[in-house]
Amino acid sequence: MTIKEYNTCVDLHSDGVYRFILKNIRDDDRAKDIVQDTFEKLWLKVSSIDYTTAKSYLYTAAYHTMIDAIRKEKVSSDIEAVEIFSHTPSKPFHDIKKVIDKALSRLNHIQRSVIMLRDYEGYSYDEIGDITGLNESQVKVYIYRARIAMKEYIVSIDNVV
Amino acid sequence: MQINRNNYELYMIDYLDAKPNVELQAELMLFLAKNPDLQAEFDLLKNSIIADHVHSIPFEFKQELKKQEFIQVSQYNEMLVAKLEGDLSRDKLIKLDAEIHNYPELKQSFEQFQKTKLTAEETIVFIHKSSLRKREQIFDLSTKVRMVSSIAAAFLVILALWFFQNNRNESTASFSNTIRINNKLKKPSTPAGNSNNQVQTITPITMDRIQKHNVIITNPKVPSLKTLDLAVTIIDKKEMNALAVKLAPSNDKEFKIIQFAVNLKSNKNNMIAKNNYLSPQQYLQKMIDANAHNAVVDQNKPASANDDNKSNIGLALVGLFNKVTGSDVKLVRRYGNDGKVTGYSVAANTLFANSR
Repeated sequence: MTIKEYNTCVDLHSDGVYRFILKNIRDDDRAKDIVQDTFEKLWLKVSSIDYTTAKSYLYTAAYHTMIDAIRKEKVSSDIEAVEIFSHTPSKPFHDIKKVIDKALSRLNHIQRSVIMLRDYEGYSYDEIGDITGLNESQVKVYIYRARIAMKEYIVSIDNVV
Repeated sequence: MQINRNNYELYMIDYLDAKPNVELQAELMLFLAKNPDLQAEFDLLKNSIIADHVHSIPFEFKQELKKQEFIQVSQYNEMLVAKLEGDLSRDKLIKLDAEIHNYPELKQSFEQFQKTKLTAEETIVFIHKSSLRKREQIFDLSTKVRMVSSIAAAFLVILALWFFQNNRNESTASFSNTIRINNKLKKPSTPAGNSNNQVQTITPITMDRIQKHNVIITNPKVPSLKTLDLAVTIIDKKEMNALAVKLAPSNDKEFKIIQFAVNLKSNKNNMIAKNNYLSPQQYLQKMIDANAHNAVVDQNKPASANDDNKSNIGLALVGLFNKVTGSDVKLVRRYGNDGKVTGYSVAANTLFANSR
C-alpha cells in the first residue's frame, strides 16, 4: 500500500473506526487513542498490507486494541444496570435513537461489536468472524442474541412509556 | 341377492342415496308393486332427503365462532431475525411473510426487531484525521519547486555567512581545510575516499575552486540518504565534496532543514550521473522562474511595477549566489515581440558546469 493509499484509508475509514470504538466504549478520549493506535499499527505494516484489505485490517486492529483496553480497565456493567433501573416513567424516552443507544450499551462488548460491524459496515458473518476471531456460527448466535436483547429492552421501554 | 321383505330397507336406502343402477331400480319398483303396503314407507323415506340447494346456504357467523389459533411469537424469533439479516431462502421468506400478514402479533414483533437495526451516525466523525495522515513522498511540481526555492535560499544564506566569516580571515590566514556543520565534522584524519556518506571533513567550496574545477548543483540521490526527502547539493567536482541541505519533515506543517557534508568519491557515479544535476545557471534559472511565477501580481499596480517585483526576486537570488561564490552571474530580462518582459535569464560567462 502506498502512502497515498494509506492517507485515503484515513479519509475513508477513520470516521467509521472511531464510531465503532466510541459506541463500544462510550469514552471519547479513549476512542480517539484507539483510533490513533489502530492507524499507527496500519502504518507500521503499510508496506505489507494491500489496500484492498486495509479496511478489514483496521477494524480487526481496532477491535483487538479495544478489547485490550477493556480488559485493562474492565468496564463495570453494574453501573449501567443502576442507571437503567433508575429510569422512571416520569422521564420517558421520547427519542428512539436514545433508546436504541441504550439498548446497544447494555449488550456485552462482543454482541455490541458484531452487531455494529454488521449494521454499520455491512460485513458478512465470515468477515465479522475474521475481525473478532469468532467462527461464523458464533457470529450468528451473537447477532441473534443481541437482537433479542435489544428488542426486549425496546419493548420494555415502550411498555413503560 | 333377491329383494324381499327382510332386506328391502337396504334397497330403499341404496336407491335414495347411492343411486343404484337401472336393474336394481327396476327390481325395487317391481317389489313395491307387489307389496303396496311398503309404498308409504318408501315415500316417507324419499321426502326426508334434504334438497341440494339447502347445502348452498352459508352460515354467516362462522368467523365469530372460530377460535384464534394460538401462535408462540417467540418461536418465530429466529426466523424473524433471519429475515432481518437477509438469511432466509426465498421459499421460507414467502412462507414467513404470509404468516406475518396473518398474525398481527408476528408483524409487531418483526417491527420491533427492525428497530434494533443500527444506522451509522454520520455526525460522529474523527476530527483529528490530519494527525493520522503521512506526508507523501511525491510532490507536485509547484510544491517541489517552492521547497527547492526555500532550501536554496536557506542554503545560500548559510553559505553567505560562512563566506563572510572566512573573508574576514582571508588576509591574515589561508583557508582552513575544514568547515564545520552542525559540529559533526571531523578533522581530516582519514583519507576522504575511505568513508562513504559520513559527515566528515570536506574541502570548502570557494570561488577559487569554482573557477578551477567547476561546480554543479544537484538534487542528490545518494543511496544511504534514504530519509532524504529533498535536497540541494553544491559539489566541487574535482574533490567530490558536497555541501547538502536536507529537508526533513518534523510534523505536518513544518520542516526542519538539516545541513550536512558528504564525501562523494565512492558514490560519484550515483551522485553526478547524467540528468541528475543542474548547472548553477540552470539551477538559478529554475529558482528565478519559480519565484517569478509565484510572485504576487498586484492588479492595482502598473505592469512595470509587477515586472520589477519579479526581477527583484531574481536579482536577490542571483545577488546572494554571487556574494556567496564570488561569481558574476547576471540577471537578464527577456522581451517578447511586443516589447513586454516575458521572463528572466541568467547570464554567466564565467560559470559553466560540464556534464561528465
